[in-house]
Amino acid sequence: MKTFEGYRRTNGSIGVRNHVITINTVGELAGLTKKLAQMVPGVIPVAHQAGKAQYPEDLEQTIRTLKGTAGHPNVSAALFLGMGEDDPAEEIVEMLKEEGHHVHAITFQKDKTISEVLIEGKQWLEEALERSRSQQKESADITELIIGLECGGSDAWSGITANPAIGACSDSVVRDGGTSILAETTEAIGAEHILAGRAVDYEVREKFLKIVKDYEERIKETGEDIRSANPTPGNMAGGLTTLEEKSLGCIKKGGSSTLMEVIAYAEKPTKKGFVFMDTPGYDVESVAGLAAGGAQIVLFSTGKGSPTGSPIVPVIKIGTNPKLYEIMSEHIDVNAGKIIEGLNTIEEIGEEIYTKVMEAANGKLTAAEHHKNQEFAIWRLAQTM
Amino acid sequence: MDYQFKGYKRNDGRAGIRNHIGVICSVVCSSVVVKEIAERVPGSIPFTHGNGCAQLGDDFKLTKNMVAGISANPNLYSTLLVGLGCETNQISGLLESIPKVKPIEGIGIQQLAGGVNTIQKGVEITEQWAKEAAEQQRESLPLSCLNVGILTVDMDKDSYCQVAPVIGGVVDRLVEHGATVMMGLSQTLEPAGSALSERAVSEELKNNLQLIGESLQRKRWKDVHNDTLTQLGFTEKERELAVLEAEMTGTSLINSLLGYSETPTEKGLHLITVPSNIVEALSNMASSGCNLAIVVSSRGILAGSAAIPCMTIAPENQNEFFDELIDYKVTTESLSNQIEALLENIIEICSGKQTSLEKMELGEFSIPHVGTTF
Amino acid sequence: MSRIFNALKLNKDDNVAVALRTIKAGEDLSIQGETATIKVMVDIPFGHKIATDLIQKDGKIIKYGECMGISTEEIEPGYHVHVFNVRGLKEDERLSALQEVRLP
Repeated sequence: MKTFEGYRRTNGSIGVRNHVITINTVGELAGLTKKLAQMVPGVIPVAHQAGKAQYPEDLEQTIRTLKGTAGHPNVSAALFLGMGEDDPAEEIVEMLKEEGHHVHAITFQKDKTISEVLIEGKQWLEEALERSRSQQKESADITELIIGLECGGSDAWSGITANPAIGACSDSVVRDGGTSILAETTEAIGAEHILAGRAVDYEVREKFLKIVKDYEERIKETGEDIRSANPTPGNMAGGLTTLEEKSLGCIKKGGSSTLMEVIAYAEKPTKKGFVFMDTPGYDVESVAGLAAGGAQIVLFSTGKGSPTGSPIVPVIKIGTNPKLYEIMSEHIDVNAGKIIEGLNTIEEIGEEIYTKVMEAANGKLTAAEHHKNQEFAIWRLAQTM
Repeated sequence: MDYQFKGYKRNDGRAGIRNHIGVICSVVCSSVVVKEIAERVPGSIPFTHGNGCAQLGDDFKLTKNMVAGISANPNLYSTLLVGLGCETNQISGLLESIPKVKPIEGIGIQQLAGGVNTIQKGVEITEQWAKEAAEQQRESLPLSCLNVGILTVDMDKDSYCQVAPVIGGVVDRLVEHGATVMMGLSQTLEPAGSALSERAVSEELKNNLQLIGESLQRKRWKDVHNDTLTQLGFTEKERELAVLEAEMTGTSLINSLLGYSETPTEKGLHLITVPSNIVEALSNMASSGCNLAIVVSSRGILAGSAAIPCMTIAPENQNEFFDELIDYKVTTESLSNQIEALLENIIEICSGKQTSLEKMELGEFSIPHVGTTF
Repeated sequence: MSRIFNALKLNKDDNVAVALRTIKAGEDLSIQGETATIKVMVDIPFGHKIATDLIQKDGKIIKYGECMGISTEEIEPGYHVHVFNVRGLKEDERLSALQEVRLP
């Protein structure tokens, strides 16, 4: 049984990081959220522009994402900044407190000056940081680990090297009792029947087919048709022949395990094993959803070289080709390009990725963490009102 | 009286009231590099946002237009665009759509083989510009070079009654002196569409404003699929407040209703569509060429724009909690004195005086969505 | 043991391999973990597919152990497999493929 040392939270979950974050519920407070984090070195800002002027369905998803981010096992403490009487900050904080999280909300309600808020916030953050530093690690095992699977800046090798190797790692994690969440509904279009064919039961199969169909409908609304536009001429020049083949190259990150559950964006899985989350292909938004859903570590394949990370979870970058590793090694953790050079098999790179996962779980920083790549964006379902 | 302010003259006849170096990301993936470059070069300002990839149709066009628009803002001496390389919002496309009236360059992380190289290159370019910008002197310019945006946030009836006549007077004076004024047509002002339509310069604009005044013409998410508009009527109270808000537009003819990131083609008074997210609204004004935004609010606001000074105006007698953020308080003094005093304040800010939000470094940038990402 | 190969099979059940470098007509195909020799009949650009078995007309093209397309003509081992001799699945074919999968 693979084990690692992590931070045990009151609700029983286990974190592989011990972050203290500031997070806003309305866009107007993004600047203050960053400013407060700056005032207390070591605190990570999670600033965004969502939270207001959104349609109900969109707002619900935003709040789920904020709650999942602040209540994430990798987060030791979170300070919310909110504004006005109907602000969700207090409510989110109450819910998170009930689950045992160390959280606090400061809401502007015409009763505090900016200076007062900055003093109160700074003090709370300093204490939270102090508290986080005294927290001891304890042993946990792979069955408590959730990994997210993602790709961004793909190239012709993604589906041949990095993605199948991630798939091999995912199958190993699932075999050992852990959980692996595949994301990016857009990428599954064309091969949805194959993934649906691996569903554990009829309900999961139908739910998966439905989210793919809904996604396709949304795309059609904009006048685009994924099926007829893919594979693109560029894909074909690279050797991709059919849409099935292209999509298979993406969904192979999920290996060949049985699909246990299909969850909404930023929703937590209730089952262990292989799970699918409904997210856009937009990598930063997708990673934010995976993290908010409880993934402690994200595996991310890239062919053209994408430096992005996450404010709260370690993102492990798997490069698809030797050239990328040569020129952009600063952003790459695992070089799956070795498969092309005949140096390693897909299974061997899968093992290497698994080793990196355990190292990251034990606290070793990934390339994205080294470079402070803490990009964050929430998937928006509709226009700003 | 002939008003003058001290600004930076630009090659296209417009003026800057600030001389920032803009460092702007084309996509969220280059935002960390953008922040790092701006941090290392004094005088440069980072513009980051969460968009730029996996976008289609109008949603993508809006992102592209807003990035191009903010790059062209006259308050920026020059602009460095930083991309990743494989994003939808390509640097080459942006460079093509930005008028060549000032120094603009684009670099990409993949093209330069990594973030470290890109930061180094970006710092080199912006440091050179920062030197040049520091040498440029302010000169006396007429108000006709200015473009002023007006945005209202969280106002109540009493606040409107106190503030609206003063703002309306200032707008009229600005227009008289040849300035461009863009009044934010937010959801709170929409119910006054019919009253505003009386001053429309064209029949088409008149009809358009009347339609807007009849009911809320915005789509609800549930209805996006069947492409129908939900008719949400306005309440009496909403209409009453909107009429008071409309008083802030003064008495001039209304030349156009600008959409997201549309630049006015003539001087004078315009309406501009704004979302009710403050940062997105101010970003939209900045992308449409505003030099300065006047934010009228009963409370002061906590975020401005990274590109344009945002002057906050509130009525006197409001609670004092946000005093630190308010640049001008409307009092009960005579209307003509107040119009004059406010105008002088505006000119001071245009000539370089920092606003409260600038002092607190609370400038932001964000792009609204008009659709979902993929 | 030499570990230098010019092609890769993503699944042991596949009837195509992916060229890891551009392979010239006349070269021998060497695939990780396989011993059978196949003579490459036409130039294959890197990243493109090459048939490792005889694929009948209307036969399934198997990559990743899954059906990724249908052949539009007979393809002999050593030949290029791409848009000129393969088509994607039709809607009813994908549906029936799904119906064939029995739930546990």
